[in-house]
Amino acid sequence: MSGLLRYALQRLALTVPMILILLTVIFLILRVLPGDPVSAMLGGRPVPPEVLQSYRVKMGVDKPIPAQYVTYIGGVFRGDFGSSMRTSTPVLRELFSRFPATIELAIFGLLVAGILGFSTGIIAATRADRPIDHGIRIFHIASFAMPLFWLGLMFQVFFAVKLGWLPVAGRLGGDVAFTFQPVTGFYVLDAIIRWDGQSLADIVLHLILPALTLGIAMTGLLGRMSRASMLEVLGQDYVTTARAKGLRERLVVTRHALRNALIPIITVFGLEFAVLMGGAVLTETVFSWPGIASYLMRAINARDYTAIQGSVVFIALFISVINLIVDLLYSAVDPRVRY
Amino acid sequence: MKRSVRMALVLLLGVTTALAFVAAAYATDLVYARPSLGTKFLDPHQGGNSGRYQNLNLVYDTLVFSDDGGTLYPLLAEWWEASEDYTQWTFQLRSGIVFHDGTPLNAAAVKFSFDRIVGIGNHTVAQWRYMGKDSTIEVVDDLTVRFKLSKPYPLFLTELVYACYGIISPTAVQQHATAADPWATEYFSSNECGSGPFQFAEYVPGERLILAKNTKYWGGVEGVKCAAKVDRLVMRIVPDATTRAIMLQSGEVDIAEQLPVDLLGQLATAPGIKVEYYPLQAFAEIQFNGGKAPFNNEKVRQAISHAIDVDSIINGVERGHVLPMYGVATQGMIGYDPTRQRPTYDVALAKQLLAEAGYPNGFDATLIWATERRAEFDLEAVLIQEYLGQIGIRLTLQSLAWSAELEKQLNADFDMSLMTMTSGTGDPSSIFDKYLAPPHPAAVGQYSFRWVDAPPIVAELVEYGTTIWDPATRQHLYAFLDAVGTAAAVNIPLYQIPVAFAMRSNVHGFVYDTLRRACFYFVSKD
Repeated sequence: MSGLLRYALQRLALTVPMILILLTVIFLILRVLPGDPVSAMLGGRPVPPEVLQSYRVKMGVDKPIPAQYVTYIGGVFRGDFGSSMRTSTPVLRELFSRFPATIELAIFGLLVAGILGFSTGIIAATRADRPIDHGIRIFHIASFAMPLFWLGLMFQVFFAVKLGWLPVAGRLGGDVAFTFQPVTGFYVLDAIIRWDGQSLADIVLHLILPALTLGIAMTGLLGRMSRASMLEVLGQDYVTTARAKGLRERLVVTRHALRNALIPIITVFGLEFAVLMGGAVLTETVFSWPGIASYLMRAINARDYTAIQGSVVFIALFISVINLIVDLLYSAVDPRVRY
Repeated sequence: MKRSVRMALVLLLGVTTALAFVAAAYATDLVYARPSLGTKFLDPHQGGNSGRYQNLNLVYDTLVFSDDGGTLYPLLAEWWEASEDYTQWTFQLRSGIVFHDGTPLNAAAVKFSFDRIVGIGNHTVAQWRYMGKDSTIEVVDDLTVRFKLSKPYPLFLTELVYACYGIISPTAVQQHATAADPWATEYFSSNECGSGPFQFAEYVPGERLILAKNTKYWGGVEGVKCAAKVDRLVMRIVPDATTRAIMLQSGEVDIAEQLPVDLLGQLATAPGIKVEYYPLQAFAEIQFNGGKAPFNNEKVRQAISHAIDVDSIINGVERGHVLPMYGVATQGMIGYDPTRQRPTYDVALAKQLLAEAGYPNGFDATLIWATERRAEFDLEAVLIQEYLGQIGIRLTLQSLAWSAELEKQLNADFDMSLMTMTSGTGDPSSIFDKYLAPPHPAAVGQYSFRWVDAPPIVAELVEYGTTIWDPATRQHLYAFLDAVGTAAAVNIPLYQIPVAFAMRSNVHGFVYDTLRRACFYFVSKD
């Protein structure tokens, strides 16, 4: 077994206790918090005891909490996340149907963050302490500090209402919604597979504002990290040597400095994914994006225990896998890293 | 060769795009933004929240229908008759009506639908859920059905108006039934097979529901329910209120609902947009924990009712778009009496009443509410805190999740609560039952905001109201009961809630009636 594979398996194995701890904490918090799913379902009406009991049985809250816990954990390890207490649909089915929307938004959000953060960070580092550097640093701080929902609303007002260039919310426009036939749930990919130009244009237009909002929110940290990392590398002896040899600055940066500056940036990129999932809750709400985060929000409001537990575990698993991939990427970027 | 293939593909793409544009240009779509669809939003017979009821009326028909004033009209039933003692109800159905799947709508389908309500056994507002167990339905002939009720029920017709009595296709249910789910509840949670003016076209969870015009609709009843005028109704799920408002401004949607007062104010002055208000048989109120001191003291409740300037809430926070309340009967409901004197805002009187109740220095209490129930409650709670502070009641404010507020109410674990109340079927009996009737001994939980020490005659009159049919008698009865409840300050009704819809100026004919039925079949677009 290669070192890389062993490392990957070890990391995956470690996610099992992590998920178990997470599930236990979520399970207990939900049952300690005020708000009963049965009351929410019945709308606060007094009901005959047999009706109440039938609801408790149906929702699986008739048993003692330890018994509920064992049943639920057993189900999760068999891949059964239970059914939503609110809608009765299997949680896993709901999560899988919404997963592509979240991932699509995350990918495009990261793309925006990557391009904006990385490029502005490098430009600021190579022009340190000049006016452009100060300008970029202000932009980084502003993008980091701006409330995400406010930024989203401002984009909607400016680009959709004032200019009328982009749609306000959703994944598809009215006309396209009738004709577009998804295949994988990743709409951009589906439109390409279907060779459907009209839908593709509409889908991309719908993606721009939420991706920009999510991306800009992550740009600050990524940009500052890129700048700091690049500045550190640019101050090292081998870079001075490269310059002394008469190498052009552009080549010094792209050939010698960039790769070494990447390691901490990749780490931040991985960590940003967790931030991104948090940001997705707000972005998906503001932009009516039918992803996992908006599902989680609705579940929390209705005290839908199974849906909340399922969503949290699903998101945690996803972030773990992304971070594992990021860790494995180190070796591709830095040959000194061996597993 | 490669080039010609590429050319052909480009040509094909161009043609399909053009065709899609042409198809889209000829269809009239009405796009409607709402925060959610509710749960099990296409099945009339499954329990759930009220948000779904506005869908049901679009895709299902009921035997009887009512207009906004409560006048009853035959819908699927051509005529009906009741026995002298109101235990037998016979309905003659219209002929030639078919469900969306082509199945004929007949007496057997009506019986099947009512059996399904009992069979599913979920807790819905439908009284038939309980009544149906002891009652029978007889299929007299293909188009005649007779209900034999276990007890006299003069309000049966009023009950049948409600969307939860929609008639469903037996063929479709049987087709999707399984051994574990004999009534096909899972399938019909997000599918339908009724006979209404719209029919299911597409549902994407969390994103949209599309209903298409039922081109074979039987026609409905003039002025009450009719065939759809638009080709497609697209319900877009947009949880955020500001986003709904922005979508309306950009022209992305035609109608938006559930917008807070401040946004409605902005939209009302925006070009190309109009805001319309529809009174709902629902109201906002302060509820008291009637079984807990000091709120079991009538003078304390009266003191509070005089300490709050309700008009300042109506005109300040709600900007005059809500209606004043004169009791718990809302405008349009039997028992409504706008000549009744509302409690005056009189701080001196409030202090005097509080002193007479034995609390000259006031007391500490907690006010709970759920913002998700009504956004304006946040500000109104602060105002109420200020008003009650003037007479020495030190109010602690506690905003909760709605489910948590409900739980506290059912367990009688609260002092005062800001709530909205709605009358289920639009009949006063359900509202008065909550406040004035004694708790049902066989029920788990209770309406803890009820008048715990009400004189026995009050409960008897509430019960009597459910046994009479004559509207004039019922008006007198419920107006009297409402006056008694108001004098005892059982609760403090604040205002009747209208539902506001903001829409593009080119949308015409939209009606949202007091029974929460969004009548999209009347709507046309320029």
